[in-house]
Amino acid sequence: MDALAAAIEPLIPGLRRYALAWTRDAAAADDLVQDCLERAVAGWWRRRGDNVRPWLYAILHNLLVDHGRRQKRRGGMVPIEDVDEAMIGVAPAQEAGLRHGDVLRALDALPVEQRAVLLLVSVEDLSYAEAAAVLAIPIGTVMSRISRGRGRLSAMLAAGDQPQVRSAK
Amino acid sequence: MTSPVGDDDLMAWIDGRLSPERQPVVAAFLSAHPDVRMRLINQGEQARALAAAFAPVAAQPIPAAMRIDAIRERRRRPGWHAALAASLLLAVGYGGGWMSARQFMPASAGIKSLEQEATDNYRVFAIDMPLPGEMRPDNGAGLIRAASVRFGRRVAIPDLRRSGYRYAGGQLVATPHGPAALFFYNGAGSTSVALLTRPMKIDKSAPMAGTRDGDVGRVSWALNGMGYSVVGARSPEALHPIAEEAQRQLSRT
Repeated sequence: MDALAAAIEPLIPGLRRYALAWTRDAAAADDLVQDCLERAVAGWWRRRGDNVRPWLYAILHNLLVDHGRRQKRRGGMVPIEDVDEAMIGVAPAQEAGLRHGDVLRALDALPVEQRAVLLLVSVEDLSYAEAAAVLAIPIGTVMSRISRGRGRLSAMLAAGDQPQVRSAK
Repeated sequence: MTSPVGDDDLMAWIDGRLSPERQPVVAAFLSAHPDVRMRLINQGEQARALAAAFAPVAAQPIPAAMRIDAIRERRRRPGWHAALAASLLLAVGYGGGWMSARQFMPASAGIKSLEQEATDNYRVFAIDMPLPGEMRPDNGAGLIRAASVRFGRRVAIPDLRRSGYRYAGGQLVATPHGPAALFFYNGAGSTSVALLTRPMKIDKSAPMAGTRDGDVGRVSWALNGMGYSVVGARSPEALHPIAEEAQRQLSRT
């Protein structure tokens, strides 16, 4: 495997996951990842520094933001029930009896910028500095967005503030 | 003296990313505040549930088309640029394809769409990172030739060094209203602005006006059938002098 493939290909599963978390539409997510990879190959020489990961996520993130804006204009977002079950885990998480559906609905209700940092840090496991580079914001802003996002997510889950409330024990 | 525990410490505790120096400080705080500790444990569980929800896709084999070799192969084939232009249209355009865009867009083919195209392109390309792109800054002449052929008129790249911005490359992009040229400029620090220009079917001449779309400011105008939009993550007022410098040079050509 050459240097470029060795640097990029291991990151593809994560990029697909990030794109799916945003779009909830497996085909659209893969199209955007494909677009991201083509831009990365084309722009490889313009890359500065050695850290390929935030660079790739930044390209993808900007494509996703753009895609989201177009979807909003057209008024379409895939309802969680229609999501391809092979792509998103639907089995209940063991811990705290949290249901994925509840967590995802709460995630969807977060402001976009809080959702982005939670996905980059909690799901993609990027460092705070990497997340800051992806979003082109200071690291302090990353920290306050994570804190607010987690607080809000937690409040929504506690209040059962979702379309489908799970029945009380 | 140790600095007090902050929200950032608490988030790092959840993520297991506390530095060794902060660990005892946060641990002492949390044993004194069991309610906070409980809250953080809940938030940690939610974070893990989130990661688990999206885990399956990352465990799947990647599509063969995503292999770097496959992408290189497509790039080598003639017609690759057309394919990129099409994907770029999807990425920056308004969707719906050329025909529907043309059917529904005529009334909006003017300066409003121009500035939105400039904004969308800016958001995609001018992120504060090394960028993918086709054209090196030293290939300005090649870009001018390519754009001039498509626009049917001579195109110039304004020199904005007097406004503190240095030309950093550019490329042709597709818009719902035909090809456009996008020029990037880097300023001090990590600031950047972009100038998008294309021939105008509507609003062939329009005075300079500033607008804002979220965090992106735009200053746009049209002159002699060409539309121009200067965009950047700055206020329209701050972009105005840059746009005026560009207009001054462009009106001479």
